[in-house]
Amino acid sequence: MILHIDMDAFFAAVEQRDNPGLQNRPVVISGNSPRAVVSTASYEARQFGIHSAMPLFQARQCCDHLMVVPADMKKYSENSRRIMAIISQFTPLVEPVSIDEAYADIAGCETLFGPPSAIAMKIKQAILTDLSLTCSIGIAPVKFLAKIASDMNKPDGLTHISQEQMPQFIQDLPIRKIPGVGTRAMKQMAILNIHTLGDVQRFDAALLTHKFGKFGLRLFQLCRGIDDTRVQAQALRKSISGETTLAADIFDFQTAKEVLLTQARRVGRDLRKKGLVCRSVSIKIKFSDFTQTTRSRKTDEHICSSEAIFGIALSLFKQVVIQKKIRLLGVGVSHLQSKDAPVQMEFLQPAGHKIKRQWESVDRAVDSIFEKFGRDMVAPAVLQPAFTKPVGKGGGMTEKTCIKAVISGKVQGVFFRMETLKAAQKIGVSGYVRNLADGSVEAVFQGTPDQVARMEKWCHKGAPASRVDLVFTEKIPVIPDRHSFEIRY
Amino acid sequence: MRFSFDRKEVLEILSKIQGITGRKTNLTITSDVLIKAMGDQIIITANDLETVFTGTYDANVETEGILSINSKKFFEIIREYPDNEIPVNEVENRWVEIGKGDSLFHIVSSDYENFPETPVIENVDFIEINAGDLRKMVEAASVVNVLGDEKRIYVLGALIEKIIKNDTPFLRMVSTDSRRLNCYDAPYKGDLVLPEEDVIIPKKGLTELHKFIDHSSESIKVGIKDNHFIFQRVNESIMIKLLNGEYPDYKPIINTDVMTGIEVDRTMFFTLMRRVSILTSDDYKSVILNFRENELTVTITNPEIGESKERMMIGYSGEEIRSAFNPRYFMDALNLFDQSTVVIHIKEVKTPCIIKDLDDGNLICAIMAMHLS
Repeated sequence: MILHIDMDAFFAAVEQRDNPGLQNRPVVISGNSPRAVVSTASYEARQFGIHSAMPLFQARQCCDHLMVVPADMKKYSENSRRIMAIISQFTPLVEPVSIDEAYADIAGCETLFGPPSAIAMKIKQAILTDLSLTCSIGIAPVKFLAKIASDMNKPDGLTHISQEQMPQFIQDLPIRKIPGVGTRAMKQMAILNIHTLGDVQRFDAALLTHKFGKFGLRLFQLCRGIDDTRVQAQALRKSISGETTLAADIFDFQTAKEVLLTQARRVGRDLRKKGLVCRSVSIKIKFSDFTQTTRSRKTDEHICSSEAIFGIALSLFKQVVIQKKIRLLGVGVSHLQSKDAPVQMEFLQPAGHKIKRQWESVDRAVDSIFEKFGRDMVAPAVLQPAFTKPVGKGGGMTEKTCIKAVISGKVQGVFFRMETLKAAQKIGVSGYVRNLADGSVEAVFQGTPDQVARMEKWCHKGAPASRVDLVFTEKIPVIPDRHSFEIRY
Repeated sequence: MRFSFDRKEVLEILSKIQGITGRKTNLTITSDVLIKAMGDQIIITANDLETVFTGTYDANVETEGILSINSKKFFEIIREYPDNEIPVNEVENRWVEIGKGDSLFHIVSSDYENFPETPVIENVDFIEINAGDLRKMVEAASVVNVLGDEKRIYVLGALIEKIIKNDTPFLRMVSTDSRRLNCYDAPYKGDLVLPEEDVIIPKKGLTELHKFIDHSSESIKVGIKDNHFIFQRVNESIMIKLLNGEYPDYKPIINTDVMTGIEVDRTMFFTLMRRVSILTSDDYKSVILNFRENELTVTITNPEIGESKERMMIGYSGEEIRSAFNPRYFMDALNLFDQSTVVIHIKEVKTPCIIKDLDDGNLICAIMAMHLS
């Protein structure tokens, strides 16, 4: 039997769990730009007709008190990892399909954990207890039916299609539910008078292939309850990479070097965490016109230190003729191997061998500090803001930072903007504050990290007559010649 | 110039020098072959700035002269030419006519003035070596190949040394890639004069040299002078420019004094290694050799393919030794021996394994272990 586990409104559910202010309210996870689209809508928001991929402005029109929360991918992947771990306790054959859904083949596990529906209940219970999240599970003898089943009873559902029920289920299954049947195929289906998957049984393979190509053959099998696709446990990682779209397009070598170092460290840490070494390093550069170029090189021996990865990435970068501004930089490693795999020893260790070992032990130390105390406790001096040269004429000053905050609650019509202006002038930040159409207030604060932090703190308190429910902040690029604070209308 | 020659002999030589003229250098003209017609002979020269070949062959010379022509094209024309007698005629302005009558090539040649000069090395103290020995020596050195962008001098080149065993002088050639090391000693006649610096011959040159050593029992003259290794047989000579650098002290590696020697049947051991190597792949190259009381088991576990196990009886009575090696290296080494029995010397885990023949003969192969964590 195959289980398809699908989390219910995953991103929204995670946010609602972590923030009581969002519970039982229409919430969408989305970016905040004018072109943003909804990535997940909570079930409350869905009642207003809001769905994934809907442009945000449209979603706001559907529901005027919609709460918009920016996505926190790091948090979601951590939750996802724990969910996959829970499922893996029941069977080794777990195939994560995306961040919030997975297939699990429980063949042979029934003797351990009971019948399929009992296993599904246990999984649901474990996810609910450990993570306070709900999921819907479909159980079916074949993969494609398991997916359809999980979708039948959302949210918090459990649908079981047994071997005996399968033929009838297929008879009645509307054809549009089959993954791969889109608008174009539906036209053909209408011509052939196919309404349910069972109807397909009337046609032979040749005709279906003629009408639908390769997919026709699959339909021929599906309508007979045959699905050859197996649940495939996660394949071995072939490569690890990290890339970043720069806050602003850059041209200077020094900044590029620092970005490469940051990425090399990230990739190196990931590599070492997984107990791997690599034999190939590559870089990716995307330019301001969105053209991109990649370079890669095989190394003489297996490496894993951030320094070694950075060294190769940098020499690859130097080979590229940069004629346009750089928008994105990435570093990747491949040809991975376990660090414990046998290594051919040499009569004479090549030059630099000792240095290589030393960098590896430096990384081991830095990695364990990272594990224990978090990022940036130890970093190369070039990446420490305090050590970098001050930018612009305000020499000696700490580098500026800038955030955008969206404050929601009872914040309009309560002199909120006036109070914000006063506070901003007192603390000494520049920027602006303005009302948004949805009743919230948007503000931008620019100043030293300390000033900005104080301003952010003030927002949570708000104006005397206001009631602040939520403050969402995001870091945005600093605008060099912004020196005053203003109220915008 | 105008000459004609007999196809057979020249074709063979042209085929052998393709390796030299095929090498990329900073000069395009090194892909040419220089032909000098003089008296009743032609002198063929190939030069890749490191290895220089010169050979003299009989020809029918009408007018003397020199010509520099693309080696690959010249070779292909000679190979496909329908007749045995091939006329070559420089027409004008470096245009060369090859052939006559029904089959005629008109080829543009290069200015021979640009062809790199052949070093003139005189009064070389040659020693004489049996062709078979020299061939074996070069084979043993070439097996240890050089990969890609190698920069270490001691890997790029093989060391030449004079050693004395039982009052008899031997010419020794040592070749390593730092993972394995082959050492071959050949007896010689004459006085070997070596410079003070280490004599390191590039392996690329040795590979080219190898093509010119016949199995015949003829004696070949070799010598070292003016930073060149010089090889001379009847009508042909090869000069290889030496590499400048120091060769590390390799002698401790092949010292078997504190090791245990185990006699094994060479063919049996070779086929065993070949069987276990079936399961090797790019990522998993190691097999584990387990020496126990009168028994050697060789196992390989490749998570991508599977496992295999081989067992063979051996005369061993020491402590159990378990060590990992690349079976390919064993196969390469065992292939170099002629004897039916060889002696495997081992000591402990993570140390090299050394293969010799029964009576401490001329060939020693050392193979470094793999690190198992």
